Amino acid sequence: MNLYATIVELSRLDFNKVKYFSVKIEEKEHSEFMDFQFRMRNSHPTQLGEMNALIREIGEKYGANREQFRDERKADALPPETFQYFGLDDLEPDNQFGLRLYCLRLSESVVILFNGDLKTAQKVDDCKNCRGHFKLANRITSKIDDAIVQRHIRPIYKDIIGIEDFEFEI
Amino acid sequence: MKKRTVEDTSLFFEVLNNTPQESKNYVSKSLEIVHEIILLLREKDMNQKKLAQKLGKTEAEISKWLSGTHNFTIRTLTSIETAINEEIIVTPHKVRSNALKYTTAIYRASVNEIKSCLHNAEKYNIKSKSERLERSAA
Repeated sequence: MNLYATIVELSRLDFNKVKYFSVKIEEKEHSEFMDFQFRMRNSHPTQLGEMNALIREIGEKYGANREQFRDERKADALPPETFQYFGLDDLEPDNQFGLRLYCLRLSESVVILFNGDLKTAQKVDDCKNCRGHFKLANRITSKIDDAIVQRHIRPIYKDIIGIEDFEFEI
Repeated sequence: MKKRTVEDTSLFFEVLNNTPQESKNYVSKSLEIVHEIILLLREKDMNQKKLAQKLGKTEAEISKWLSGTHNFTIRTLTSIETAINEEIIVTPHKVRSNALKYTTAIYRASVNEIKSCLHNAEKYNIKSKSERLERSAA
């Protein structure tokens, strides 16, 4: 069955320097980013809190600079490569790699947040938690890149023009 | 045109509010230190390559250090401070001490300047007075 998705605005995640968006797949209750929040809040609350603090700090003070994201093939991810989580969750038996949140940095002012999970292996292909989110993030990134090239949508300052009428197959 | 979909993010802020302040400060401090280093490098017209050369490291290593949230040791920070000849972390006590030192220096300079002005004015007044006396005697 073909599934379609849209880019959605995240209320109150419009900070001084960055506005964050997400992607909502039809028939799912939440956007990918909010699904990540709902799934991680009980299992990894401290790391999720640090991830959210990172999103807010980047958004409020620094802007989405290249150095603050890690490369995940076509997509990006948070936290940056050298980040070490400060708080460890009690429920966490394997905390070597920490939470990953896949995303797409369209500019220094616009970031689309996808989904993620706790990474349990060095290579994403070996991580059963993250493999699916990584693949989906890259598939969505390709679709969004194409849409920008074909001028269906356009990131301008802290906004993406044209998302109201933009729907894509995933 | 369809209406834009806006999703509620209350949970994001709820999680943030429930996160220990220590964790939030850690994230904030990590980003702040790296930002300071990047700004100092720009001020000194120095790039990552030059810094890597000065520290005897690879550019890739420096790039990782400056990737936002490296867990710096005091040793690493001191090496960077030495290489760029600038302080990255200044303690509040040091700021206060320096502020006092600078304020005292400014105060002393001001006092000396005022004294010098008064002295000159006094000389001018005496001279004027004597001139006036001379003139009136004449």
